[in-house]
Amino acid sequence: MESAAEHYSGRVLGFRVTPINLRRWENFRRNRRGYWSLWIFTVLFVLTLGAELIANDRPVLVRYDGGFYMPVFKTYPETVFGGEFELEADYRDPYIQELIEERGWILWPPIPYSYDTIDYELEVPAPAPPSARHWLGTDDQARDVLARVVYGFRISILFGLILTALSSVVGIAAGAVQGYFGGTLDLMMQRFIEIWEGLPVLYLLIIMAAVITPGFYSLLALMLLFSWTGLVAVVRAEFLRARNFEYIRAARALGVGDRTIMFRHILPNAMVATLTFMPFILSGSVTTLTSLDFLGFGLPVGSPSLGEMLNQGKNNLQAPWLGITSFVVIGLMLSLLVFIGEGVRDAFDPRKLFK
Amino acid sequence: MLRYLIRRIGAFLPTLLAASFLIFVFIRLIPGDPAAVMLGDQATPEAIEALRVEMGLEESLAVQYLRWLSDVVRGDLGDSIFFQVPVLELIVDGLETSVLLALMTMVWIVGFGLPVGMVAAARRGSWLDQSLSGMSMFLASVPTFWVGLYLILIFAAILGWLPSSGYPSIFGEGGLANLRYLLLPSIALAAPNAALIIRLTRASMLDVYREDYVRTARAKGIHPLRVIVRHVFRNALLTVVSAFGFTLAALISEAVVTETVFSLPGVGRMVVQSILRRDYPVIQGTILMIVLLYLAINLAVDILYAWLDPRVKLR
Repeated sequence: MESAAEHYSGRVLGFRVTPINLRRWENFRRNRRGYWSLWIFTVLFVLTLGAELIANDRPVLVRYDGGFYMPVFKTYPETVFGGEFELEADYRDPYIQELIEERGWILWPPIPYSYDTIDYELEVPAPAPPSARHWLGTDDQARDVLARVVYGFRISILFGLILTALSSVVGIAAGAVQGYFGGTLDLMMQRFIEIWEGLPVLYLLIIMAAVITPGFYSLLALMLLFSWTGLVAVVRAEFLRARNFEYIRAARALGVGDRTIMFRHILPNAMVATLTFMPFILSGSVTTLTSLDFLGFGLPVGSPSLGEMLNQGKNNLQAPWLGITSFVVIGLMLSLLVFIGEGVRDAFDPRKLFK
Repeated sequence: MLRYLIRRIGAFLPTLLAASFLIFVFIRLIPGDPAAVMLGDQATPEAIEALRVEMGLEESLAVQYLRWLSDVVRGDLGDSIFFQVPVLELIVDGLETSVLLALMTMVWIVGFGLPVGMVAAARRGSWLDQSLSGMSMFLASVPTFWVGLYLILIFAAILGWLPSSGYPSIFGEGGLANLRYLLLPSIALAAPNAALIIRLTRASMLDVYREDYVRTARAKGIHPLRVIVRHVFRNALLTVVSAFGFTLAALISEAVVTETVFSLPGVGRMVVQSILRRDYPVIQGTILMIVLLYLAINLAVDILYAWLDPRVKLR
């Protein structure tokens, strides 16, 4: 017989969790749409994390002359395979392929193109329609659409995740300080945030992006400038409420430092409200990134970007596979995130928790 | 009510002032010399220098700001470098498209979002409710241009029923029939926002539905339809009205993308093009107008809110 404590604490995916979190997890699982979205999203995300192994213009594994080579992770000069030059081997070159296959074999990834591989041997002018060679066709620069989708999904999600994490940190810190100390500081920061949020964000992002032609990290910083305010109100309200609770007053009377009270005693209470907001911040970040990419003010030219593909779809209406692919991928990605967010929100909702 | 109004309007002006300062600083942060841009590649350094003095670019930032502000207050937003006409004229030109687009979008949102949300709440749990909420969740999660491209693909490229881009003025040739150019853009812009309103209307109707006074009303034997319209809907409207504020404000920002997708000659697209042309006075003036509009909408919503809900002004 298991003890009551074991029965109620339980484990989720191998982690020990408290009864309330167990209940939340079970509530989340009961929401089929959110639960399945989480699984599909996780699988897609993990798969695309290894994008180099799925879509690449270098083989995953090469067997040559009794040795194994992994060109995905390491660059080898042509001479290793009996070629003439000290340059990096071009595995798409039929000559190199012949050399290797004389004394071994090549294992290609399922999609033998990277996001920036230009297929010079297309039989039709680019954009080429879907075929056995390019499962989803190519874009107008003869790059494989499927490979770009795989890399584009990864970069969008990673960008969104990093931005969400950073804006949560800044937003929670600002909200905590405001709510905990209150008074003039709170008032001034409230007014500032009001004005800051009143600025037309997309326009300012475009202005700044047009000026500095951003890379991945500078774009991240630019968007962080405006995205941190999202969480402040929730966290601030939570801190304002909690700061007069008796256990907080007791802690203060005992001489516990402000920082300890804020982060050890109040923050865990504010986390519920925060967590329920996060998936929506994530999907919002991805949407903004896609919009900027679409307008041509986003990630650097050549990046595997879904927004850029959507723009190509708009400019090449005669090549519907471009538009349709980007529609489906962006639609799928964002709906999965929103479904997960809905599930999380419902799972954490105290009114639904104890029904 | 009067005191609330005074306090609320009193907060409006400092906010606008602070926002105008932020915008001014933002635009000044852009590297590149407006004087050099104005004179083009052939200009001599002396000519650029002379123009800088003439434009007041040599003065301190504070002096420049105050000068700009005093011009703005008198209705002078400066001249466009590219077009050589007053910025205000350009904005007025673009305003026709943008305002009509926003109006048509709001018509869709109110005319479609509110009733659908009410129906979903009244028939909660049914397959109709389920499919409506599924659909609205999907629409709320995708960007406006996504819907826009989809509409272009179906109605313009494949069916050929509606034009895919551009908008000739309704005051010119074609008259009111030109509004058909705005049909697809406004639907695209409305879709995600209407979806939000549907979800919000449904949720707040259901919240109010659980209140004691609604049960009392029903117990008194009032006709169910009357309960829904008089008792539930009016109170549920409170949340929805404040959401209209966000929505209108969001429309201003989202319109930039929609106008670009459909190549509409609106204010949003003008800003984007001015950014590419480094036409500083236009960017500065237009963004200021957008912020003014945004704050005015928020003010209007707050006042409307206080008028609808007596509890607000008592606070």
